[in-house]
Amino acid sequence: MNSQILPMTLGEIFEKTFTLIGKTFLRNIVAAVIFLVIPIILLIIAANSFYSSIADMVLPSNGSLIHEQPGSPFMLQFFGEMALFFVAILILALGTLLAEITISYTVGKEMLGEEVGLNEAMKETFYMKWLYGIGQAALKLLIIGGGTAVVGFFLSTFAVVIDSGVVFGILVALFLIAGVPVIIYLAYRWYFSLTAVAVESLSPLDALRQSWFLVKENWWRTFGILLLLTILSQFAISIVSLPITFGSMWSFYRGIFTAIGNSGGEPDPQIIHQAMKSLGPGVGIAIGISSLFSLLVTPVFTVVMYFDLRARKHDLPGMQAPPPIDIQNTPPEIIQ
Amino acid sequence: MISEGYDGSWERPNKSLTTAAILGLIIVGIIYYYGLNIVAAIAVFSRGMNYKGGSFLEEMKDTIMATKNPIRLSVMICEFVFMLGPTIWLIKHWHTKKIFSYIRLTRVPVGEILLAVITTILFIPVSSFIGEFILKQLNFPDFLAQIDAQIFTSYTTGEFVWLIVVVCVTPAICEETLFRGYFQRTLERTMGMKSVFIAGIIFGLYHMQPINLISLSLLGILIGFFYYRSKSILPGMAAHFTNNLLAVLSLYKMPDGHPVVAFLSGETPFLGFIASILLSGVFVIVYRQATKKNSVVKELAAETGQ
Repeated sequence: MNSQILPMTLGEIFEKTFTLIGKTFLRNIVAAVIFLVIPIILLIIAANSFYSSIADMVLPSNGSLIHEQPGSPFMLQFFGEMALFFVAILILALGTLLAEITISYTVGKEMLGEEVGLNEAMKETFYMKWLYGIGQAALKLLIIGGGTAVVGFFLSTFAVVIDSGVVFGILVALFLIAGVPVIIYLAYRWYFSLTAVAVESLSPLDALRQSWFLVKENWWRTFGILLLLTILSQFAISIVSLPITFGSMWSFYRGIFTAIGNSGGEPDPQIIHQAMKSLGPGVGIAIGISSLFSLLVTPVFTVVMYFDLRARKHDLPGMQAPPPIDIQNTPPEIIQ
Repeated sequence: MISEGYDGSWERPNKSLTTAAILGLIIVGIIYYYGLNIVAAIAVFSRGMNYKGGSFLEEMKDTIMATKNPIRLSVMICEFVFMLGPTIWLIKHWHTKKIFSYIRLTRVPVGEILLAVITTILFIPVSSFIGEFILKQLNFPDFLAQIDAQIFTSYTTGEFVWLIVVVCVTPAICEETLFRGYFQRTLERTMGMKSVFIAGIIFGLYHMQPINLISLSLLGILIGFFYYRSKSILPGMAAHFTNNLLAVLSLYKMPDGHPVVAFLSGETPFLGFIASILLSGVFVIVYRQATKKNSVVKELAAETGQ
């Protein structure tokens, strides 16, 4: 089966992606729901508390704008709820990572002509891959985030030493101009590390190495195609998720419109306050739904691209690199 | 159904027509929405806005009044340039150079077009009632709805004609070519009748107006049904034109602000909604019967390539 996977054109990548989305849709949506349902519920609860706190901070329930600094107990509660919200987002990210491994494994097997059930895919995920998946993400974060933090620290220290805001500003600008392309470059060089974990069970370091190797000499092509696929998929996801997001924020919109309607154009702070309080669950649902839809598309085209790159690098089992051309025994017209 | 003698780059045995339809729709959608945002921003900012001061609502109304014509012009230009243009390009390169034949720009008996128009008119209270119901549930203030409707409101005959071109003629040509002529047509080649529902729902989603999603999807399904049964894009175009014309007509006002056609501007009663469902349902059946023979003949002709 492997020998059938050849380097693909852009049209073939689209074709394969659509075919695989259709073929694995049911398994993928079940996997996505299993991994995301609890994180989404947690996120809704956390977002509800967090947005209620924001509403209480901006507009107290007596209806007038706040004039004084909120007291320490309130700020403590506010930061606690903010921390809870970020923990919920982290849990959602973890759920997304696990679902992505399961889906990538399923799609990877389909690429090789094998059909695997959801049970097997989940068993694979929970064997070692989940740990490797977290490992490669942590490594990437450590290298990219850590590098950025170190440079930032040196810049800040330098600014303090020379005591010049202008020089610091110039250095920050230079760092952004030079640093952002480096971060983008690295992010795309390691784009396939999670797929390598899911499809080939590689350890975190090997997964990063594999992605680095596959994208080598194909960086611009990979960047261009992934960007295009991301724009296309995000547009499609936004069209489908817009009504769901609107529905989940129904109470918020209703509150705002009621406030505007009752006041003849000058919104009543009390109702605005209530509307803001009801924004939290909507935000939670919106983030959750968009993550769920993304999971049905993004891992699929990533796996297709991964196999395309492997085929280009002759990295698939049973594939051999083309033999070097024997210049001495080859007619000159062929060498040309 | 696939062997229709097309020779475009997507007309190969191993190529999926469903992929072509979905991908084409997404590509055109991205081009159109990005293009529209850019053109509208340029048009609005080059026109400039003069704030007279006043309350938030007055400023909002002033802004809409000042920018409505640039926005109308942008929408019209973008529908032709960024929606119709890419759709024709896709059909030509992916499917066939016989574009009119592909989108089914073919003659049909006048009776079929008239039936489609009557069914659409009878169906309008259904979509109005649903839209009004959702707005009521949202407590959407009337004065906000009126401000929002300014873009489709005309106060002079000239403005009314201008709106007919922008709101009725343009979507009837451009949106019908994309949704029915390309998307539904391509899906229909592998999915048959299912394509009517899929294209109809996508038509609703594509407008990115959650409040009108149900009404627009139902309208999309109805127009798709006309397209599917008649094997021509003309009844659908006429239906789309009629639907939008009645919307523009309901917002055609005299200089003193009173509606020119009063009965179109009122709220839809529940009984009107029920009657509309029944009557339009009856006319859908009549349309089905009227196109039965016609549909079979054209399907046979398409299959034999004559």
